Amino acid sequence: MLLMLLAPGAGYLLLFFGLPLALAFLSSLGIGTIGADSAFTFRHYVELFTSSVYRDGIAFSVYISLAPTIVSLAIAIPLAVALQASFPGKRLFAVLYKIPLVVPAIVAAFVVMILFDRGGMLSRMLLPFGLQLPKLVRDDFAIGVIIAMAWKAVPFMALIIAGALATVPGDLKAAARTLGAGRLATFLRVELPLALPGITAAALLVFVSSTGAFAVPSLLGPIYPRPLSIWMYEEAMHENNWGLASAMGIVLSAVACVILVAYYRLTTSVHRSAGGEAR
Amino acid sequence: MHLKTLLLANAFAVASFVSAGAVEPVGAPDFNIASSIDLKALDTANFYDVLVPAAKAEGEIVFYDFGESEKDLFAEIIHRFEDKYGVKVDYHQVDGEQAVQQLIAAKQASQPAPVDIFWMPNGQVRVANESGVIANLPLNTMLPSAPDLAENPATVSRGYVHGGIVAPFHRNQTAIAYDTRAIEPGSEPKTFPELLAFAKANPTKFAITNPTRGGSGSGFLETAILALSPADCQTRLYDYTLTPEEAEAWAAGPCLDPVMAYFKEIRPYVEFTNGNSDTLNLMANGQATVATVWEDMVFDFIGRGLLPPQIKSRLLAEGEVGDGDGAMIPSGAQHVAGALLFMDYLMSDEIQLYKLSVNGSRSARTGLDIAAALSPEVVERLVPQDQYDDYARPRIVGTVTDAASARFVTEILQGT
Repeated sequence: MLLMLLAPGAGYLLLFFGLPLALAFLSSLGIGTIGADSAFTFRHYVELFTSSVYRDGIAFSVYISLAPTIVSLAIAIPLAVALQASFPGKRLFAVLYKIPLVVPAIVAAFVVMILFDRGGMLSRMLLPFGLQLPKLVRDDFAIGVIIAMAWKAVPFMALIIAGALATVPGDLKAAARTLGAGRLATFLRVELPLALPGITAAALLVFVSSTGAFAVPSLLGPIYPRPLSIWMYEEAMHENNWGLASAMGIVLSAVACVILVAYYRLTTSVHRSAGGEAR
Repeated sequence: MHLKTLLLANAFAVASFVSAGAVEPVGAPDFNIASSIDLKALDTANFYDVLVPAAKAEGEIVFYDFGESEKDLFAEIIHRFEDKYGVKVDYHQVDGEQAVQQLIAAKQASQPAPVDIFWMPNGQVRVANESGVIANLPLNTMLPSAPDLAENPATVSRGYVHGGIVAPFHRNQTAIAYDTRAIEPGSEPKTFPELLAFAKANPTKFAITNPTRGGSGSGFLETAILALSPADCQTRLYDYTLTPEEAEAWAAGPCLDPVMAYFKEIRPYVEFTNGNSDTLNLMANGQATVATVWEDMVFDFIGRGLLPPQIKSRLLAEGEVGDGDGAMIPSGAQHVAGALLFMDYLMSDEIQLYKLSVNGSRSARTGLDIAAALSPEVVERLVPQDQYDDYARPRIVGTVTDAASARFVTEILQGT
């Protein structure tokens, strides 16, 4: 009976997640690869890890996943805290700050390009004052990429974190205050630890969704290096090299899985240290 | 090497390569496409007598356009074709690379092709042909409307010899654009040394498209190879028998050293961009005053008001490579008669001249009366005709370009 109840969900996961992943893994090993003879091989992985260009691509993919996550977190936490309070115009603000959620990533990239590129809108506005923007598009540190991706991620993160903060019982905060803790101490020592599972979940989701980012780094990223997602597209679509593209996809998925495992270990240890049961 | 000698060598290389049969012979005894018409009996004399009634019986064709800005052009062409022949054209704007993968997947699944005629990206011809999705119809000789095709564009796509199975519908030319608001016409950089001097005197004002991200960049790299590699290395640049391994060895050796040295010297002073449009956007913003471009893109951008009319294009005096994108009929096409008729119409005087006047794209047809089609407004937006006649060159072998691009990435972009 239990198996039957699980069947729709498990079947969906197997069919639309497990099967494509398995096929991609086999393809990365030369089995059933589109446009190539089927023969077992490790050469795609060897090529991926022995090429300095692709290794740089892997490192850059991690960088443009991690940096926007950290920047978003730094903005989303204060924003989520602010959303707990009442202030004039809060309802309007609560609607406006969510706008990036519905804006496609490619549109966000064009917005950043129009604003921050050399000769862009901000450059022209600053020009009369003798000021000049640093290079923010095609720059070596991918600042434009980080701005665009963080802009997209902040409301998503803030929503989750605000939800987590809202579950912290008001009695606990009041108790902390009556015991002499200031607002900051109450936040840092009571609210933040209790909201940590929500905060880490938000960070994890943003990181994982950023690992495969394509449009934003393609438009705003540096000339070199390029993230693995772009190499993946080029190998598949330009070179018809689906074996190597599959290997790249598997490596990107593996990076996301490693982060997922790290997340579970972290939350488990935090939970244990807080005296809760291990999950 | 003298330009004419090089071009003659190139033409000879193409002819030898085709006759050597290293690719599937065009017009082979057995075509790889099924059709209700007898393709073996089809010739330029009976072309219309056979195809027009057959195409009308088929009723419609499916046409894929991979271009990003030719929708209006094709709307007009299709309108005229439908009026002339009474055959409906089902038009789709597609992503070129994805459409090729769609054709390969359909062939692997033994399904008919979803399209009858496909204007495709030139860089995909090798992949498509090696996957067997292009019909081996001798389009370079069988279309009565185009008896005067230049040999290289009719048989080679991005340095890959297909032998004539892709019709050179659209030709384009890499060029150097310059902003006459900042540079007095006549004093623009005309050679590689002048470009270097300009870049050093005007840091970040010269935009070069990353050769791995856009054709105007890879065309510039090829142009640099033609201009700067030693004379004894140049014979292999149009050697279509070159294997990828031989091309890698060529690119790894001393032949490419002067080219890499040039880019190393110029790199600190230039802005590499993420694509052809990215380069033109920098010009539009007034941040770049000289840039590597496609002639027809500049033509199109000025026409649409995306670039100011003060932007002009020219060719470097060492010669610059040109290219193009062709149309083909997939081997799994269902409406072959209609597709051939439409292909013939695309290559006709009427459409080739119309396209030139609207999109600024050159033609592979050598017998066209170009002067009659060019209005002063069109001429202003194109590379000067004398420069085109003197300096335009075919692209070099694709395998060399790929190998050179890989070395460019590790040596210039990665900086190792």
